[in-house]
Amino acid sequence: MENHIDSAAQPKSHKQPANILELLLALAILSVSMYPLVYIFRISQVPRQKTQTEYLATLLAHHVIETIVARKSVNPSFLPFMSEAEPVVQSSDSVAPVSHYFRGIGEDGENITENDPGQLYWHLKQFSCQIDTYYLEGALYKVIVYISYLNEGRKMRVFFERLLPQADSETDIGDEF
Amino acid sequence: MKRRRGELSLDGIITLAFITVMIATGLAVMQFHLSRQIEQRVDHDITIGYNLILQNLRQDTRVGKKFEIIENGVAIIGANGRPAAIYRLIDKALYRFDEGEKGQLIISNLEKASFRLHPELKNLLIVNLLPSDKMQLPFFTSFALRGGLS
Repeated sequence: MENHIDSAAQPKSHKQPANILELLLALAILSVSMYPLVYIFRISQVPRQKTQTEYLATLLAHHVIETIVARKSVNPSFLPFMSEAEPVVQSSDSVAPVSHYFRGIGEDGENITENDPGQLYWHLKQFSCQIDTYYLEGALYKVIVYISYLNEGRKMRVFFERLLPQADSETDIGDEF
Repeated sequence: MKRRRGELSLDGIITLAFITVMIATGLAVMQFHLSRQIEQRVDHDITIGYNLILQNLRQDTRVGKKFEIIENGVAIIGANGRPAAIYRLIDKALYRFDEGEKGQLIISNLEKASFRLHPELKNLLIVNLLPSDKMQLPFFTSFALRGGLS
């Protein structure tokens, strides 16, 4: 009788770790099987608005760099001066001057205001433009254009930089990044 | 044979995993399909068209010597005095015509396309595009003529 009880208890004690292993295996397989769903969900997710804001900031930085290139082409001694972060549109609630590179570029030849026929005001109001200029060895200047904006209370910046030759240099103009 | 509660057989696990994979695949396909529908409805990939404009205009202004503002567009004049490229808004769509006058659709569903020269710099083109969908991002940037310099 005692032997019978022991033989019944033996397989039960062996079965316990097997159950945990099975459970872990099940969880692992289920986790792996769910990965395609997570992956497809991630790649098909609609990009958030901040990506578009970043894209527009990049376009504005491109505008500033191209303005510098155009001005440098007309006047080889031109050197962009440094500036603090300045707004790119003229708003009634701010007395800060509009950035030099965004003055008079509205369709009416004025600064971009709320009544701008190009309907850009509300899209550009959040941005400000800052210019840093550094002298480098090798008769070169480095200009860095920062376009900054706020995203959920955090300051975000997009920047382009470009190498400019000194006025008496024959060095070709570098590429922007 | 008495079946014990709380146990999961290997066959059961494989069956469950197979069902889960099938459900996950179905949901993934549905999600992908829905995402494509949303993309079409709101024309979410407007930046693809914008990137095409950036790419083409940067390429054309590298060889261009002069801008010529024309009706509903702009012509970039090359070194030979002939247009290297012409950009024109036709039926709310922006087309690029090359030297062979072969037209290429760049972007559609535009309410307005504005090409104008900078008030002080005649070698700087300011481009402003407004999509028909007001919720979409506008395009605003400039392009300087390189004339083969860089």
